[in-house]
Amino acid sequence: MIAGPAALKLTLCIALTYWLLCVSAAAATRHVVLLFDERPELPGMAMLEAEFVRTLTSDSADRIEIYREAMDLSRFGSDTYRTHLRDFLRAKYADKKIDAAVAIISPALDFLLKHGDEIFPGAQIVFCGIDRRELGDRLLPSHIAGVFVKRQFSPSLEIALKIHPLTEHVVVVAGTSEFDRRLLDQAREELRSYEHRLHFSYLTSLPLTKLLDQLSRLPPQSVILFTTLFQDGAGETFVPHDVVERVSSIANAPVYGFLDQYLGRGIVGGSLYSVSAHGAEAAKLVSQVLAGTKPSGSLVVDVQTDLVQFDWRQLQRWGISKVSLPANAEIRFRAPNLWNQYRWYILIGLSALLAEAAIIAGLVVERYRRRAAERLSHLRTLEAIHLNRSATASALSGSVAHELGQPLTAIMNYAAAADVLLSRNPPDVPVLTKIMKEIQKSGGLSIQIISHLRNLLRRTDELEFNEFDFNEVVDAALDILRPEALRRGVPIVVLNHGPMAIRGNQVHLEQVILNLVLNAMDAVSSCPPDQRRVELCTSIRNEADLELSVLDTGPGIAEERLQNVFDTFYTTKKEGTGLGLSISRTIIQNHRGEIWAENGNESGAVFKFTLPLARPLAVGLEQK
Amino acid sequence: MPGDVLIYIIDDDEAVRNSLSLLLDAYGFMVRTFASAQEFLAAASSLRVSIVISDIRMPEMDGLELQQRLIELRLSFPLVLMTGDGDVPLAVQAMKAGALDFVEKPFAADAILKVATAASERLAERADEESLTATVSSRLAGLTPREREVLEGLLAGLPNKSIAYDLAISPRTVEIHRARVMDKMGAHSLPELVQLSLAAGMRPRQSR
Repeated sequence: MIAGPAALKLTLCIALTYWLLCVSAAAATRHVVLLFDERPELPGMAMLEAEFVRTLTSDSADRIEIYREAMDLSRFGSDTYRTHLRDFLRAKYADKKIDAAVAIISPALDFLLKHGDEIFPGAQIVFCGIDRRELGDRLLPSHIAGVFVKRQFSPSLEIALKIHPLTEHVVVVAGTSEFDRRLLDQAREELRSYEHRLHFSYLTSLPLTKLLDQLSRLPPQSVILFTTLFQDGAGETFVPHDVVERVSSIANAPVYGFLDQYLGRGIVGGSLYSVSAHGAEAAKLVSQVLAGTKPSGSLVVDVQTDLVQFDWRQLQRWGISKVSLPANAEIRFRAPNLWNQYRWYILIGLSALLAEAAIIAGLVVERYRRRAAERLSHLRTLEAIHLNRSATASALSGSVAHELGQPLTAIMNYAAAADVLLSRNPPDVPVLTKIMKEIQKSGGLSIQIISHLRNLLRRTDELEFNEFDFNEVVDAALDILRPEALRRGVPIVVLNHGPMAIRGNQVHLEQVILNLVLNAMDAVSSCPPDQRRVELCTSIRNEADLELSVLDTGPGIAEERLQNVFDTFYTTKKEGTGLGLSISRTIIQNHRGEIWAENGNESGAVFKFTLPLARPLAVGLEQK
Repeated sequence: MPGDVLIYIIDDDEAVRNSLSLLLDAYGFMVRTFASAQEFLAAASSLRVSIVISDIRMPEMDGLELQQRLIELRLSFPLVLMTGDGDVPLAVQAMKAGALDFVEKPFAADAILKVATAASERLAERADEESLTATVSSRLAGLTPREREVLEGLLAGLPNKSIAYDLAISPRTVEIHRARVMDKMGAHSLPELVQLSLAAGMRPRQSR
């Protein structure tokens, strides 16, 4: 529990501190009042104020309290109003200590100069938004601070003339309000020096509709300079930048202007004055004044805030290329071209397209490669068939050589015999004649044997199919096989069906039969001579297919290997190539048939294949 | 020599058979052809023994089998084999088993003629040999047991005295037997006697 006297002291201390804080806080707050003449909601004013407030509050360490007064003196000019306004303001700000009063635009300054002491005693007066020329010869009191507007009209005209060198007519658009007139006068003065080489028309006192009409029918080689239009010839009031828009949209000549606010509303561009920059400059000045630091030199400054800017859309509209623009030009309002606007859509679309194209390209390449691979595989198959055939031919070469030996022996013998017989006197002509005939017969046989061999070794580069009787193929194969069978001592028993027409490649089918029968003969080679036998049998199945089976009396094939025997390079023979059965399978499959192996009823294996008949046999035809 | 030399031709190939037959005939041989080994064997026992020229590769019974059968049947036809491709090993086998010769098909005419001629010479030699053997065998059969014993001793190279001692007869008796043996055997000298006896199949008696 704090004692009485101590408690009191503490409370007093706290109260004192609090009061000091309040006072110091109060002492640190600056009060600034903005006095607008023109409507503060005008875009120009709004921009100026916004920038002013922003700059002021960010620049200053103190707390700034800002007040606004929209005096609207331009529109309400009566003395009665002014008087009442003065009183109103004086009453309003009686209790407020204003540190700075900022007048925006001349009428406001005039008002302040007249009544400022009364309304805002002790306040520093600052102006902005006023052109030096507006003051004319009037001298400002020295305690006034302010920033002059530096409006210039000729730079924009210069720029326009550089861009349109063939210009003959310059149309200057202005309004009828006081502000409008003031600006127009200023413009006229600046433009005077151009009047000797260009034709100037000043459209100032027309009602807006008439004005617009005129502007839409200007002669060629014209250029429009828009100053400002708050009030038209008929007395109607407007917001200038709305007017600019309307002017620009119907004019048949390019419009150049002076204010950065108008850029984007229809002017092509020009040397443009920035209102917001001006606001910032004014705020800076106010800060300095409040802080007590006087600017070097006078309190009144000119700050150049012109920027050369252009509207990209208007440039497009009037066909003005960037090359004709001044070097320091800034181009704004570039239409977000398709790229910028839809960049992501475009990218996604493009990548989808690219992906598609890539897939298609990939597929095309794939297809090409596959075709090439198919062709290659086709070639390889033919090569393998030929290889198999060569192997068969060399397997049979022994019997072929022997076979050839027979007729050759006979020919030699006959010829030698004839030789002897011819030396007899008289020669035995009938015998000699017979000998000659026999020689020719044997010679013919040799030719046959050789052509068999040639057929065996002939390369077919195509898988030609034609129609023939299957028995021809069987017979041809047997012709080749018989000598070999003889040599090995293996009898071949043949059971033949009647004619069977099929479509296929004779050479290849003969190859299959050779393979099967040679295999069968190999199988029985280990059997005792009297048990060797190979049976070849042709028959019809299901009236639509023919079946050929080759049976041997050998050891047979293990059950689990019945499938494997057809695999490439599968062989149980020491010198086997392992190709015979796999080639046979390929050939049969190419002919849309089937080939398989079974074990026979007795010992030994049976190899069978079926082929579709070219023409199904009629029902009723039986096996022979 | 050609003239009455008979050649049997066995080959399943008609052209070879006929042409060879014609050729050999033109050269003066007598020829008889058979289309298979079986056909020949069926007639073999009634045939005059002479040269057989046979193909090795034939269906049902091949040349080697024929050779085996002839050996079994003790039919000593001199055999010439005709070989085709790859048959040389078989031919060698046949030669070891006693074939006379072989010729590879296809052959030029003089090749077969050479073989045929050599075969016929060989045949003649054999015939001579055989007849000689037959003669000597019959002469041997005409010896008395004692004379035979003496002959055996002579073949062994024993002097008369030893023979006499072995046989327990006098040397003089041995001499008498010896003379009779020489006479009966038709030998004019001891070496000739030995030759004849060996040809007849006698073997020197081992010394006791």
